[in-house]
Amino acid sequence: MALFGRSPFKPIQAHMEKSRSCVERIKPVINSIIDNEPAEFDRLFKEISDLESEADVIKNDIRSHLPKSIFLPIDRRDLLEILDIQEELPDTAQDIAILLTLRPLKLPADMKEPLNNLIDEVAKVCNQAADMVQEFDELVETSFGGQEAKKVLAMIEQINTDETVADGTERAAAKKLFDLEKEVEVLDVIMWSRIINKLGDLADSAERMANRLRLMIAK
Amino acid sequence: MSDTLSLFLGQSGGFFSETQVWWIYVIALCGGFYMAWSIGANDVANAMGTSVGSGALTLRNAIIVAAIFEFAGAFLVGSHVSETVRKGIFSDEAIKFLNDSDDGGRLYIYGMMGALLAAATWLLTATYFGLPVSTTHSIVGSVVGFGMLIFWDDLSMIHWDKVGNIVLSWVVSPVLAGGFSFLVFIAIQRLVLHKKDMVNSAKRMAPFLVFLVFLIISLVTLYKGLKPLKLDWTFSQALLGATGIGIVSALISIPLLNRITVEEDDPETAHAQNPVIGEDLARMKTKFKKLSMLATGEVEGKLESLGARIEELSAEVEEQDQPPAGKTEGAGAWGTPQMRATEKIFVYLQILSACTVAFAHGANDVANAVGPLMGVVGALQREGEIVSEALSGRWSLYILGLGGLGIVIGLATWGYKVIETIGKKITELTPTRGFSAEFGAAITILVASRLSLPISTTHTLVGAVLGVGLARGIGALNLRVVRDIVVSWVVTLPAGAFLTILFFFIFKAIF
Repeated sequence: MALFGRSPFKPIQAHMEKSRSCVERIKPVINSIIDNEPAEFDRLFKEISDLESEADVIKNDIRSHLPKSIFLPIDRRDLLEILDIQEELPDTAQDIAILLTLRPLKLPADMKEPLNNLIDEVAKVCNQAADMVQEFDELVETSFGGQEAKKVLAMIEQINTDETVADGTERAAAKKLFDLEKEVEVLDVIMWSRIINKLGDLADSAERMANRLRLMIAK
Repeated sequence: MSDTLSLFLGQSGGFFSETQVWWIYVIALCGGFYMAWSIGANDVANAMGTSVGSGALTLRNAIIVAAIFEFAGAFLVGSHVSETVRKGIFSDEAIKFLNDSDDGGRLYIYGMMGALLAAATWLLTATYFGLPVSTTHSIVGSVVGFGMLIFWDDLSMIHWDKVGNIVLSWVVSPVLAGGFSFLVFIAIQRLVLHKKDMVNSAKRMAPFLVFLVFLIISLVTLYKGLKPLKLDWTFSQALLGATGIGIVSALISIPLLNRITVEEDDPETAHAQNPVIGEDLARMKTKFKKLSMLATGEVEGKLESLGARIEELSAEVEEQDQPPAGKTEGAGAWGTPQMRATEKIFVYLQILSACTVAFAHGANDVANAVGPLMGVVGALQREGEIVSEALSGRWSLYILGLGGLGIVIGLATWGYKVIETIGKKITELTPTRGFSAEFGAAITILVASRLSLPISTTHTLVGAVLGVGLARGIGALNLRVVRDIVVSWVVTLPAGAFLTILFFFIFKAIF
């Protein structure tokens, strides 16, 4: 009986794990530039690129198994939307890694702390989003209701709160960068400012995923 | 009177010779037996596949349990629907007319034999081309085709409102089953899955479900069901008896349920690889086999060696995914320990619901095989007279028994393969879902059997699964199946009718 389609929920969790691994590598890859360790940078850069393309393969596979005739316990468009936002995580991580290769970058010592703060907060929000996606199979098992749904809604709340914190650290890092504009080369300021923006985008993506999932549960 | 009919009549007087009767018996019995075999071979997997898949039953036990319940359903409750197939679509005037004319009985015998062989041929063809067709639709289409042939210029001789009811029941039964299973699954959600303490909620709810299952199955059996065994109970007697059986079974289930405990997370039961990998590798394996058969020369060798490597890898992945001995691996293997324990409780309930489906299936589908057979045997017994009341006595018992036996043999010779394939497929039908779908389908099929309506059990089960899906219970459902069902109907009815007409003329020429 061809009644059962392939469930997209396990693969979407696999995609999220690749994305999580990408985001986890942002901190070491930026620090390898700051600490001037080109070999380490090359290794991490390759890892991020590989993970990003692996995530791409999973994403395309999920999409090709979700024709309109597949009936899901949630709105199909919501699911595709969440997958698209999820795809932004490895993409943005790769963008950051690429920005680091464009020109030799120097970071003033005073910038190190606010930048690492920002990276930590962003990674935290993304990690929570990944944990949230890992609840998908339990949500399907309880058909998106009851205690499990309450648990995930609490996770979503937490992501919203922590994203605000991450926004704060983003502003602090940007502020610090422009405070130091006399000491930093103009082009470096531009590059770091773009990297800081991208980091902020990661937390935004995680929050948008959380809000999408909230809609799915409320359906 | 019917001009078409008069065309067929009066060509040869008298009834059949002894040899002819012997041959008719052989053909009709073979046709009926083939139909029963095919029902057992193809459809029984619907009931048992998910129980084998979720690890609730071993393949061997599933076969044994299915055989018992299919036979019981066919033997005890099968006569109602069989009567509909035998003569339900003919009006009383039609039967009287056939009985009054010299050759009416002969034509009826040709028609019923034709219907049997037509349905059997169509099933064989459809199976060969992999089309999902229903035995019920084939046989009803065939019998109606025969009726239209002999009453072509007086179609009012056919009970069109009855035919209409049957066709309507094909639409209503999947919808009704979907509605039932939707409600059952919503109830399980509210009372179990959404509770903080899932396991104990499930343990509290389970005895009620056991009660319901036994109440329904014994009510259908006891009320008018045991007639062939000379046990004719009134409705209130049957209700009382069924309630008693239900309560006793529920009480028995309580200590059994309490033995189920919550097992903490065991990493060994988890899949080593994403389940998608094993599935796709298996698919690639067959693809490579096909390709290397098509290819020639150097490419063939290369494809073969690639195929062999994929086969190795597939075996390796399967090895890794193999749960350690003694652990049941099924769709409910993931999730929290609470969820797994809950699904484990429903594994047992699902065995019950699978038995009910097997029982209901036997009750409804045996008619497809034995309905026309009863018609032929009855007419032969009475020298061409077609009786309007139910075929009574030991003949009815023998034929129902034969039908039941045919189903069991079909199940034992071929059905186990189908059960194994369905069971191995990774589906999202966890025991809670499986129970809801099977419960909804079984109620619908039993009600239809009681109303003497021949319905398609497969389509009813599909409707029931869609009902669970509507209650947000299933990961991904392929709605194209609905289109396939509609197509199979539209094709099967005329095909059955056409083939019957063909066989009718062949028999008329031979005998």
